Amino acid sequence: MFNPLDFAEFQGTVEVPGFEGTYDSYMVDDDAMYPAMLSHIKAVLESGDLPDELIDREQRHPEILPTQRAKMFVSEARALEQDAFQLAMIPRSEFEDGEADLTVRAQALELARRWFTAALRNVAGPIHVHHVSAAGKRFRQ
Amino acid sequence: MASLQTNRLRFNLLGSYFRAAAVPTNFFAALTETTTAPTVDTNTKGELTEVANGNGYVTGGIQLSRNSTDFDVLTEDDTNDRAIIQIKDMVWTASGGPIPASGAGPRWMIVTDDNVTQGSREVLAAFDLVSERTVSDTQTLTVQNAEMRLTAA
Repeated sequence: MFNPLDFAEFQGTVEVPGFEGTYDSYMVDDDAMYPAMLSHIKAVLESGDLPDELIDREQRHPEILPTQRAKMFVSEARALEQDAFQLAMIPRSEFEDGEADLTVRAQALELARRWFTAALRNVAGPIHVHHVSAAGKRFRQ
Repeated sequence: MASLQTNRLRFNLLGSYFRAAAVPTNFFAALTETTTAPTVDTNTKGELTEVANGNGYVTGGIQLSRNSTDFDVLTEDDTNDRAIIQIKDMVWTASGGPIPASGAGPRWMIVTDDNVTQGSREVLAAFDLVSERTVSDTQTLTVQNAEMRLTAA
């Protein structure tokens, strides 16, 4: 099972004076997260199973089925071009600005980020996420 | 879904952060028809056509409180040079008939401030629902993982 906490370093719990509620802050190393996330999405598509990390176990909304978010993300992943995930693994520096492949690549990367965010939100509750990259922003869109 | 953030949002953010300009107590997520598409230049809800009140849709939309429950994910993205805030899942349930109660169905979900005058509510963001939606009685219109993004350039 994919665990987003394997790629998110807890930074602390934030309380905002004067406002209700708190949220946990995480730092995410994109150089580790994106490859893992892209591989995981491909594996989910190949298996045909719903991703467990996106099942809404908290039942945030009684009107929304717990599996709805998972189905939505899987549907989006299936709608991408076949080579999107492969292109997403190639560093941004190897593309020229304006290349057609960049659009497809960006779609896969954006899906991966949103999928990861949803998975982290599912397990951690309200969150702040700081995405960082030490390796030259290779997964920049 | 495609989304946009208006220049009014950007203006308000700078004003509240650097000039301590007043901020709304709450925000609202409302539904508008396809009659007029929101753009980055849209200022107020009066420039758009809101979905008819009734059958589970209340004029003005659903209130969003300024907290981490209603804006449940805040992202600083150094890889893509942007900041993102996510809105909680939004659900409208048709009751006593379809949504819309009359007229055209929703095509856009917009985020506004809480001005007491509906037409004067400032439009801060808009989310394209891709096509006009009609929700049958007892069914739901759900908008999940809607994000507002501010990019560096």
